[in-house]
Amino acid sequence: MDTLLPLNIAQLIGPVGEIIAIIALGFGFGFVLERAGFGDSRKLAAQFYFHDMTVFKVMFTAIIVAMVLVFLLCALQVMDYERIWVNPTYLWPGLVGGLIFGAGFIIGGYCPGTALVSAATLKLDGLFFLGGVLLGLFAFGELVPKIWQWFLGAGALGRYSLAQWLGVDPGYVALGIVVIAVGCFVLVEYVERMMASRKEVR
Amino acid sequence: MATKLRIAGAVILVLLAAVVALIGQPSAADKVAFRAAELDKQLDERKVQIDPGDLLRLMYDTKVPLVMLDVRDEPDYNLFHLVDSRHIALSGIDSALIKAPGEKAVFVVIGNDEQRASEGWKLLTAQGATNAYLLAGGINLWLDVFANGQLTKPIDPSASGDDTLRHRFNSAVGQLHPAARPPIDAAAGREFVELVEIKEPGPKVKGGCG
Repeated sequence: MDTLLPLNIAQLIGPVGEIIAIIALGFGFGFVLERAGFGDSRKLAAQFYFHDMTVFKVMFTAIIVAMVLVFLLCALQVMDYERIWVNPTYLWPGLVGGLIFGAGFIIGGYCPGTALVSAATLKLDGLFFLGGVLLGLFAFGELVPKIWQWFLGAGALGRYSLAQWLGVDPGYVALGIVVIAVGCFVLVEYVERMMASRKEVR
Repeated sequence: MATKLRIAGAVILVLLAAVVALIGQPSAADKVAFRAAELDKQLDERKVQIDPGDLLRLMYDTKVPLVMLDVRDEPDYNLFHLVDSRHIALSGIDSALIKAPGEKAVFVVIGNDEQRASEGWKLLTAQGATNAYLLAGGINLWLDVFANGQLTKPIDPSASGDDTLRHRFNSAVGQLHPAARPPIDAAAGREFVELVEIKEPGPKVKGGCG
């Protein structure tokens, strides 16, 4: 008997069903983001000024919940970790890309996903940001592979996880990250209160 | 109330993560045990034991990304092995080995007979190799078919146990023996079923938030 998960959706409900499922999941994800206020660039950018850390808390919570559940299901042999897509690591492009992404997030107030959510409600800043994203994608695709080909594969490590790097069972890494996350939540709530009290003093 | 809920959520997550750490991720042996019935059935029905003639065909098929894993003891491997086969202990069969040559790679596990090769095949399959087979009859049958007595001494009569090399060599010839890569027509006239079909790997669920 093979593991139950991940499901082969196309095999279960056919290719059309798979497309419908993808659209439904995408809509659900976008709807939840919008309802949580993640279509508002002011709320998103507030985290960089430590006024409102909701985005940090929500995203980090989503990551650790998913991580714990994935490795729990794998430990119980309900899910096969090898059949889950893990983005390959390209160390240097990852570092540079992360810096550019972060700078863009601070300046524009959106990440690409939340820009789509914002654009869906026809917010002007979201639409402009999305235009910028598409322009950047086009420019990158046209220029970088031609003049800087070596960079694309720089620091390629393949499918490489923290557990492999540390040489320990992924369960211990998951536990460590959950503890770090809880510590971070306590810290950022303290910072939020501190920033709020400063604001009151002014 | 909200604070209490958040604290409860955090405690539950930490406890769940601790449980995950305590259980640990399944080892290769755990994965084999979990799929034991299915794997044994495939072996019993001889769906994965490929004939020497079929392996010879693959060795000459440049479109097939063939990976031959020789799981015999090193002295046997040094005595004789197939060209391009790689010596590896059963403990060395892990997911990194499976991923390295790409998902469409065809793995063929080689033993002296079939016992150890079957264990190797189980380890490969349970850890996600999509196209894994083992050499039917192992090196013993291979040499029966292709050696034609060249360079081998008379068959060792004491070697009757499974996974013992029955053929004797004057010295360790490795892959220099003509039977290490016989000519493509060496299996002409031999009847066998072409078992190997390259299967597409299962879907990998992609995701992410940009």
